[in-house]
Amino acid sequence: MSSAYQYYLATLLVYFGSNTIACWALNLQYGISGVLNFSFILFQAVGAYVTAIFTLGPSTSSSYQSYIAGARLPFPIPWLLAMVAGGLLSYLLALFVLRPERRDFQAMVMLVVSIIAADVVVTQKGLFNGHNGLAAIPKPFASKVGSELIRYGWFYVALTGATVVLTYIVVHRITSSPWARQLRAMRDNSEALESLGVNVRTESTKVFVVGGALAALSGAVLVQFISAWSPGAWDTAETFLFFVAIIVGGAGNNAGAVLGAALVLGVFQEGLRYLPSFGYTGLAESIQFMGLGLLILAFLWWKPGGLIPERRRTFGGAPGGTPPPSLTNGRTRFTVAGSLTRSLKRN
Amino acid sequence: MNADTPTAGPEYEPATADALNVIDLHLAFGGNKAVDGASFAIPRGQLTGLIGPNGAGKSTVLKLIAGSMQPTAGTILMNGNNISGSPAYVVARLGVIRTFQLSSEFAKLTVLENLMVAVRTMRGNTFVGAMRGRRYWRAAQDETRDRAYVLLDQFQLAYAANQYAGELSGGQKRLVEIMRGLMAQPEVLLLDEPLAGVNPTLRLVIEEHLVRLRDGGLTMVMVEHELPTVDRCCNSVVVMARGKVLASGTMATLRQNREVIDAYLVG
Repeated sequence: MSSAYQYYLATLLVYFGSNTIACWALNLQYGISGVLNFSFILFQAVGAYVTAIFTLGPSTSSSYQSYIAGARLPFPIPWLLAMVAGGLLSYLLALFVLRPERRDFQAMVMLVVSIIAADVVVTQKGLFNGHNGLAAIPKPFASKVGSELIRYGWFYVALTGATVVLTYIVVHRITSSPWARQLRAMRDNSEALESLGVNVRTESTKVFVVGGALAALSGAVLVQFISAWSPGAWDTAETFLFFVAIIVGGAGNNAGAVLGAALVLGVFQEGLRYLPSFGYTGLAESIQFMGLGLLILAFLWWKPGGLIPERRRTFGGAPGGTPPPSLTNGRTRFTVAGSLTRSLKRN
Repeated sequence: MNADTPTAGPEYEPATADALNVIDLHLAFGGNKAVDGASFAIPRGQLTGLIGPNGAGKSTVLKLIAGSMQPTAGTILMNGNNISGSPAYVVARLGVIRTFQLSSEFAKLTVLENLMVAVRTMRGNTFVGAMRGRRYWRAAQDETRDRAYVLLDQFQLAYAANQYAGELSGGQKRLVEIMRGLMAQPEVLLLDEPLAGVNPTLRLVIEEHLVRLRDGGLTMVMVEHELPTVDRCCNSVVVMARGKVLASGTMATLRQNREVIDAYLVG
């Protein structure tokens, strides 16, 4: 395999790893808990920016880019700070946005926050260098691994892979736990869950913070590989790419999120690069977004559960919980159990 | 003291025989008085019916007791604690669990999960608990599952344990909701038209369960339109009309009450 293809493959794998973490984060928020986070990309961007400023070193008047709170911290501290920042921003947003009983309000406010944040970053150049964004972001362990592109690329694939595994452990522990059952109940009917004594606002805040921290981690992973980050990378529309991935792959299922990340953010996005150029500049991108729109509509219409639907959680046989006799032998009996069963089936 | 824990006002002296006391409860939407000074008591260990014509304010009173809506004025006492104005989850933690007028199952959870989720304090039901892993919460989950199966057996729904609740019939969903409420081990169970839309055969089955629970000493309040059901199940009845309490007592005594007859029992 040529060096160019090797690097291309390594790049695809790093993107896949970062997208997988992001999809798991959104799956926790939306697929499991029903939180429509239309500002999702903002949290990935926060992770990327925080990682950048804590690896670039202090911003000086002579440097070609300006940003806040610069420092040069060793790996993995910038990634951890990115997660803290993502979680903190999630918490602050949750304080005034999360209303599980008003999901329409919640979704609209998050969308608006995402748009405002992008405008603030672009217009306030002192924050993150405006439109140009941040560049020349140092790569972790570059001095030890060496700057040879292919060698470092594969090293970063391994680093991303390890991060994905660690993230999966966290995500799997959550999604297989009784807490996830509570979160899924919140998604299905938050008012009913509240009436059972669960403070749904607190629980949705918790899962929102966890998702925000993981989204920030995905941004951290990506930014140190590509070494640059600008507002163009986190346009509001990018959020919907992740939603398409979750819905196509299967909302509420970790494997579905991985498949969605591979198919939508990998195959679909990359595949379009191989189409011959046609029409005016930007037409292909527009068609790409239209294609994503059609994809999400098609899945919501014909396969709302996605390619790998949410798994039904079963708990083995019932102790003494066998079906009533009239169900097991298929005959109608005039017994109490039989009459109950028939009435249940009719009703 | 925890901010979520309601405190009793010093001026209230609740009767120990009553599980709940509703005192001069009001709720107004602009000029429209949905509840207009309703006062009544819910005796402990009994099934109390809440009846009245449409728009009388029965379901609204139930929502006010459960904390799903906040009253504009008035007091709701539970065991001497003023719970009026407390949010729904606080009221539920104090032991008041409600069911809903419209089916409110967790559709994409199985029947068994619908019951298990009601055990709020189970290990593993928090982020930290989840992160501690299966070993930490498995035993508690198994215990909760077994409890749920016992209830499913009693209600003869064990065969549907692993079915999605959203796939059940309307009557089965009602049963799941009642069982879910019971899993939370309530002190008071509020039932908002638990028989609405249920076929006559299953109505009788649900009635039998309610009577069994009543005889077992569970305090319940039931909003219901069907008077024969109220007759069969309820120890006492509160009659409401236009947001006010018209009368209360047994169905036999209420049938002699001219005001009640004019407002509800006839026409």
